[in-house]
Amino acid sequence: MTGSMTDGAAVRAPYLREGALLTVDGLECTFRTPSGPVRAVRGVTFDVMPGETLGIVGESGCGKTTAGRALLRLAPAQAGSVVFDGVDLTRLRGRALRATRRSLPMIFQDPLSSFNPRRRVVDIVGEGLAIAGASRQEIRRRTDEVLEQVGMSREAVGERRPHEFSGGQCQRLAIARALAPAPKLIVCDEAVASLDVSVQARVLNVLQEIRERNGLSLIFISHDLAVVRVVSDRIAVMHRGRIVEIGSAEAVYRTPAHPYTRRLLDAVPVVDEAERHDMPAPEFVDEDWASVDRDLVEVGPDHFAALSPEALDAFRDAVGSGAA
Amino acid sequence: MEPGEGIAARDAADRPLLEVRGLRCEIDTTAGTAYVLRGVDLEVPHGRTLGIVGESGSGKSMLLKSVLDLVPSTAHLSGSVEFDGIDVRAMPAGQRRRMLGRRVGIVFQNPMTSLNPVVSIGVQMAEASRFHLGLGRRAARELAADLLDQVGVPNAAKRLDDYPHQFSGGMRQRVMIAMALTCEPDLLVADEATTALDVTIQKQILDLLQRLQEERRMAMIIVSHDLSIVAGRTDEVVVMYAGRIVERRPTDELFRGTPHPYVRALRAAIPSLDTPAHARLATMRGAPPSVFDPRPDPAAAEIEDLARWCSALEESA
Repeated sequence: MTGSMTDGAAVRAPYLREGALLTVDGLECTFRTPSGPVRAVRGVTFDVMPGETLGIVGESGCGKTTAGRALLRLAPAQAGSVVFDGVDLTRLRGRALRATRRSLPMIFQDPLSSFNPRRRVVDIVGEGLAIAGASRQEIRRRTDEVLEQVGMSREAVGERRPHEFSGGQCQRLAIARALAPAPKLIVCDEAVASLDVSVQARVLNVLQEIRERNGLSLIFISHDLAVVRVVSDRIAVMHRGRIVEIGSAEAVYRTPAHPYTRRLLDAVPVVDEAERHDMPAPEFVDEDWASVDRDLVEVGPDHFAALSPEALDAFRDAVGSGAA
Repeated sequence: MEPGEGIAARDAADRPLLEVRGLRCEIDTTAGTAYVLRGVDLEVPHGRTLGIVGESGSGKSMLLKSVLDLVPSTAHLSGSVEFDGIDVRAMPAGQRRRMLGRRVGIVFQNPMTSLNPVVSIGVQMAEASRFHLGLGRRAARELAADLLDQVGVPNAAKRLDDYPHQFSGGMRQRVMIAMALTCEPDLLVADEATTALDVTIQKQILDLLQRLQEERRMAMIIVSHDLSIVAGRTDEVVVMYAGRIVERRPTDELFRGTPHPYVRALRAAIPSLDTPAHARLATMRGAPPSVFDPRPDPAAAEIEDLARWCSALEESA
């Protein structure tokens, strides 16, 4: 039941790099429903280098959350491989799987529903360490450390329980909990989606500081294209279960190659229209030139999109004339 | 015809459709009195669009509810609300409901909680036209089909027999808009109407609202926590903070000159499409004062603080 079974995994995607911390190759996730199978994730391939942040954007139902969950084995993957730090997670079972998961924490949209309401927050933050068998002293030392990193302290948190904190504080506590086992990579799924902009800015800054200080890698899943832009080095755009475009944040936002990416960027409301770039608009005569089922081809330096050779020519023409 | 409507029609041209003066709302709770609105003045001229922006707890939804008299019985309102020259708050409750129900259409954030899941769309849509316009069953159904068609629901006549869960999120919001249009309102209120939608669908719905407003020459109020939604689509913007309006400007001048410190701080906190990777966003210190703070203007100190902070931020930029 691994990637080698499907024909899609036979050819290595052109954008996979050497030395990646995480390599996801040909991930497939199908759910059985009464109205037939739903292929939520279809042959998704990407990698994350150490210290790099990958943003995954797309609209609801595009499979971005399922992809994030499947790589932690929280959703069942039928095919594909997920190699993290040299270990294929899809082959792990039982104790080994649980141990590896500890080093791959996740931050969810609604921290209140992912906290046990009846436990003290200090205990929740240290829970992962307790399960890992750390000593009481060790848990205490590490909890103090991570609380400090998110701008809180044991004194301020005290005996309080989750409901006594605001949304922004809860999200910072969720970050502290994720940090406690000293992970190399954190998956953030809509981690700031429920926050007010002023609070969102604070949480994003905390996340960035921690990333820099600890050399963390992040996978940042969000529907908000502006938020993703701020935190990400690279960006993958998902549509109908597939990645249709991936590349450096700069390239994807300034010169989007896939028509879906362009439509998405075009729909984002902005405070000031001036911040919207003039995007090259290649003419695609045939809709099939940029269908989601096309393989991704290189359209520029560190920039790949699901385009046909004809579409690629049209795109290069448009970018060329735009630059001239 | 409602009393006063004839007089209102005479000088309707120079008087705003909605005029709110010194509106206060205080709610008794077990934790004490919540000062939800601390004196709000507002005008919406005929055929114009007003944007109301604020973060959660700033009072923007309660402002709407207070204006439309949808507040709980524990709320104490004071101040005046005039709709088309009629003093709304002086009207008997039943009469007020009949007038506002007919002349104001509202679209809320979550259509699933405003629609009845076990009643077909056609029957729900007919409720307003049968009650307010006195239409018969058949005429109400025809009107519903026509409205669904106008808001871009494909196969409108057939879909009247469908139930809310059979519509996608965007289509459900179109149904809500069609319902709000039933009585040809003079004012359409969209309270976070696109917040739960994907960006491409959000754009479709905002475009639709704009088109309908222009075609029908309605006045419109767009309420949102998102400054960018309001920025391109309104004539005037008011910004709420701690139960007050702290800024009120024509939309295209919102950022010109020196806006209110809170508006500057808010603007600085919003990431934009061309923010470089790993840039730090400006985060304002502190939080708005508690809703239970009994002082008349508890935000004064915070705002002074914000002003100093903004100046420092803008100098360093």
